[in-house]
Amino acid sequence: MMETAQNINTIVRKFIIDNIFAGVDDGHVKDDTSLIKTRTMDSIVALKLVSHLEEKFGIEFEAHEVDQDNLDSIETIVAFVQKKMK
Amino acid sequence: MSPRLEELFFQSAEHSGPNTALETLAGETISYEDLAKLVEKKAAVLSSNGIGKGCRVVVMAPKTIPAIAAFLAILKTGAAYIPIDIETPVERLQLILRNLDPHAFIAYAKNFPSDIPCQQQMMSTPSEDGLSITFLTAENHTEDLAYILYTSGSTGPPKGVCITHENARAFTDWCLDTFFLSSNDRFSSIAPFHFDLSVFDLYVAFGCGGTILLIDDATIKNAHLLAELLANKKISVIYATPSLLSLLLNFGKIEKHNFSYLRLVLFAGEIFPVQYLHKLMNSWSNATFFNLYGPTETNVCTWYEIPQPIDEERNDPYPIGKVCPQLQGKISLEGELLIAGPNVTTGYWQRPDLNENSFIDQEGKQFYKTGDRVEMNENNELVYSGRIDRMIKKRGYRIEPEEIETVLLRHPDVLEAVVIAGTDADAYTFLRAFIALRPKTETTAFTIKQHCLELLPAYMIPEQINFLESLPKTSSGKINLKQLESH
Repeated sequence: MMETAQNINTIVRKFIIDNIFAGVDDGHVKDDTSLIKTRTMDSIVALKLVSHLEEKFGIEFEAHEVDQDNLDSIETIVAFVQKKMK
Repeated sequence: MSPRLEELFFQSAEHSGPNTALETLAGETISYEDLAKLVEKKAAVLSSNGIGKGCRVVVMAPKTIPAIAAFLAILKTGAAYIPIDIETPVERLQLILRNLDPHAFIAYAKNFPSDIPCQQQMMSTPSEDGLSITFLTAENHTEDLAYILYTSGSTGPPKGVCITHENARAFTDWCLDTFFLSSNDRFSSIAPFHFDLSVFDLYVAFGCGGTILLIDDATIKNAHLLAELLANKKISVIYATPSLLSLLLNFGKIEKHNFSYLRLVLFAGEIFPVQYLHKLMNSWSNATFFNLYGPTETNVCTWYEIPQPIDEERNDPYPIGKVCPQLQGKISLEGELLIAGPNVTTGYWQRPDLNENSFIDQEGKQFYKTGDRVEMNENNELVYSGRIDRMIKKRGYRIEPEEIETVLLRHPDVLEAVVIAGTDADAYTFLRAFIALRPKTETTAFTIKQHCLELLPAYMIPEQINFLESLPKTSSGKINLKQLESH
């Protein structure tokens, strides 16, 4: 089943809010808010996110794909997951 | 006179000159003899500008060949080097420089701070490799130090741990005697230079004439890439924190790679959760594993070889082991581990207040008070059982929660703040901040994190921010940490 961008967005957002903001979504994290460049999301959370995405969507990241270009905001993460699922 | 740290490098340059000393991920390599020439050239520039015994030179550079040449050149002149993280926030850097009062500052132009406090800049010398040196007017001269490492300080500013040549060599020479290393060994430089694990990566590798692969910060943070590299580059010796090794195990897909060259894995800085350690030992079955223990002030002071075959039934963390033979260890009445001997720092740079409280004289020796509580098991091995103070160990870094609390309280909306450690489902330590805001303020977790980022290094930013109406208190009016731990 193909996931819609909205479904992926919901899953990614929940992971980020749970893992960085103790589960409290105060509306500050927008879809285009930078997470890695602003150091809001550290490397351990980023690695956990990659595992989570691999498991949830049955995709596999290549080593060079685990970087801030693909993981910096909810928007870029969703776009990358969609690309990998094609 | 005790042997000097840089001699480990120059002796190998003499004996095994053509061997590769350093390799970068971009494919650059440099032999021992060529690196020695580069070091001599840099040392001449430094010496001709007055850098020599008793001087202090900051190096603020990423892991590059010129940065390592700079360390060796500084040592060669007789001066001490101070490696500082390029990511250090401006204000923290200023605090360090104010305490340190350096004689020169070496950095790439893009990392050079806009303002170096309290000092007059004499002149700048750009060099061919891009690292420029700025000479400064500085006051005090040190004793004969090799390097100073800055760590988190409980009373606010970071503190500089002074390491003499004798201290450093007591550690490196013990490693060279203990771990059967050779010029065929390939070392990985994983730890950043401002972290004492890097002293092993550089000088122990130099001492045996081995090759060091320099791994940049971005690669260290990408466990997938790091695992691939360690395997493909045929690394034989790894020294890292349990956090980093657990990340490789849990996220690095190590089963996809061939680690048959890996023969020695050393870990230090925190407790290694046994379930992960065993899994990793099963994956890297050719390697011998050692738990090394020691605060920056002693570098390493105890060691323990993880027995094989693995005791799969075991759930308790392994002991930190026995005190290294060149040192003397004691357990105080309160259960604190005390260490004396040639590894032990002479003290903190320009901090008589700390020096008074951190050491204790007994039997004519100066013992460093580690702050770590230990017990002796039935095999006469030391077992770590926690801190006597509030210090938190996260990813091998020592964090004094008071330093973070001071920063949180500087935010105008924060009324009360406290930081404690938490452990997630995967056994990683993380920081939990509990904050009570002033009435009618609307600060969010996001803005608190941004505030911290301006003042603290990334590893000190609390992962979790919890807002409470007010912080719970004990009957004596202190913040009730126990109650927050179960929050």
